[in-house]
Amino acid sequence: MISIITKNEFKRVWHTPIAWILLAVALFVLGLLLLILLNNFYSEIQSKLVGLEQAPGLTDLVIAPYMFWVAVVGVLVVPLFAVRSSTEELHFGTNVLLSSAPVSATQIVLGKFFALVLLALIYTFICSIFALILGYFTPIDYGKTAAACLATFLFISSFNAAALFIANLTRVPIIATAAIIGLLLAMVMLYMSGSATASSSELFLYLSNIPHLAGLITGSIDTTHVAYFALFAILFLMLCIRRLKYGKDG
Amino acid sequence: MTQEILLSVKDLSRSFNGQKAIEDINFNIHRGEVVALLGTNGAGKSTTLNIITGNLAADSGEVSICDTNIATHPKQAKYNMGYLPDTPPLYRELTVNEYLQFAARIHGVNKQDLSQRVDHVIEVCGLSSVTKKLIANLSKGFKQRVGIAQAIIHNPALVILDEPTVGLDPVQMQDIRTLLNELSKNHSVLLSTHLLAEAETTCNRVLIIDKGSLLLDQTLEELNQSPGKRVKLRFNGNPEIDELNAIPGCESVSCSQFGKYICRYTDMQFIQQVQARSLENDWQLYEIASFGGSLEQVFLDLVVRDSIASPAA
Repeated sequence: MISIITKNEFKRVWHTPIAWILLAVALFVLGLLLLILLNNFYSEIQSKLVGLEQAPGLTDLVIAPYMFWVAVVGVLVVPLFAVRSSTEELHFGTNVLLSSAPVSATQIVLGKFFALVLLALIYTFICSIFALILGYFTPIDYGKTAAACLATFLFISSFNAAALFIANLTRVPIIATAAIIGLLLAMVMLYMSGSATASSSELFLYLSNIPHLAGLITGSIDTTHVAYFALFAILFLMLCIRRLKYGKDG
Repeated sequence: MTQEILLSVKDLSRSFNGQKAIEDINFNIHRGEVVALLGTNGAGKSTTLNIITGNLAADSGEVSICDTNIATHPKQAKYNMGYLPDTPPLYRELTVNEYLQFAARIHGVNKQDLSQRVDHVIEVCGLSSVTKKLIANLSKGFKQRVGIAQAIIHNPALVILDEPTVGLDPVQMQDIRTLLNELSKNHSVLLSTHLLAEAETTCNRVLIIDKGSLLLDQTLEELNQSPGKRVKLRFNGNPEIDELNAIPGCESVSCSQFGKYICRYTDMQFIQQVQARSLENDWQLYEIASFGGSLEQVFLDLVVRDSIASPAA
């Protein structure tokens, strides 16, 4: 049943122009960004690295920052589909199709979440092609690049779970979108509070998802970061299932 | 009645922010019945249907579909039910065929039977000419047909339709009514409407709901055969229903949350007896009004005139 819902949600995304437009805009912006990073690397940074022992290469100075931006753009774009998939359904009453069918709240939530994960996977894959093309012209560290892609994918996918939960709290798409962006800003604030020199706290750094993205994107696959993203997603999925189950009371 | 009960609604109540939306609703629907749930806007029809279909939790009471409690076993209960809400739950970006295939799969139709079921509902609902069209591009009448098609795609025993003809033009209305008559051959139907003509042409039993209380539960045949055998009573003393039931000549009594009693009687002696008992037990009877006849007359007597007479209630 989960796969049926996933397939339908995924199909619906591509039946509207919004997905194609958002993907095109995101790729255009990220393509420009990669060009800027490359230009900066060849015109300014590369000459300074000559002679340095264990100097960072193209992977560290171009691909890693590029993938970081892929992740940032991704959490701004992909959760919009969570809003479309849940808030708009509540708004137009199409959620009744699923809620009056013999389908459990868990199946509905997981079905929608996996559709968003699939979107995140496609987005990460297409964006990583840009980076991988560089490997045709110059040597790059494929291991680090793969770790950066994994980091981006986990970051966007886990944030999708939070977006799905928020999207189920309201019938107004603009409020849901604002709340999702608010959560992202809260994560940035936590990161900034945690890394401030005066009153830094390890807890803030652990709670924010940005240090975990930054940790993985450098190429070291630390299970702490992977576990964080998994727990982040599970927490919000459970809240979402609970909301769907007990939302009938109010 | 010995027929199988498909839908059983017992003592259903629900409040919103302390205000009662429905109170103590009781009725059954048997196999083969087409029942109209009549009431004005805001009477409690949609709340009742939302609870029956598992989209809203009840404060108290129980709903069973084919002997399965919808609150405790929602998945099993929903296999036997198809539902069309007042706004059809349609994905505008899908074609009719894609949408019906999805509706069939989530309602448990297996892959082998999928195309056969989809073809069947397309034929029954007259959708052959629009199967490849996007739902967004369909007329309102066709959208309603697609909504009905998704409700019957898994061949449920009970079909629940919430105001299926609202917003349609007269020709589309007639088409949907013809379709409802077709549906009634193979399914039991609970049809919520505020159109009396629709209830008279498509249903064989009516439930009248007003201000959250069920005021009347009768077949159209009974309604037409026994004009004038109903009386509306109001007391200041609020007698027990059993006390009224015990009066000779009384057939049934129902009471709304606002102290209005609707009694069906078989003997005129009942009216005299009520007056006598009221004096005897200090029930303070202050209104007694006979009503009956056509569905429209009954509806107006029970619902409309009553709200004009007591706007504060």
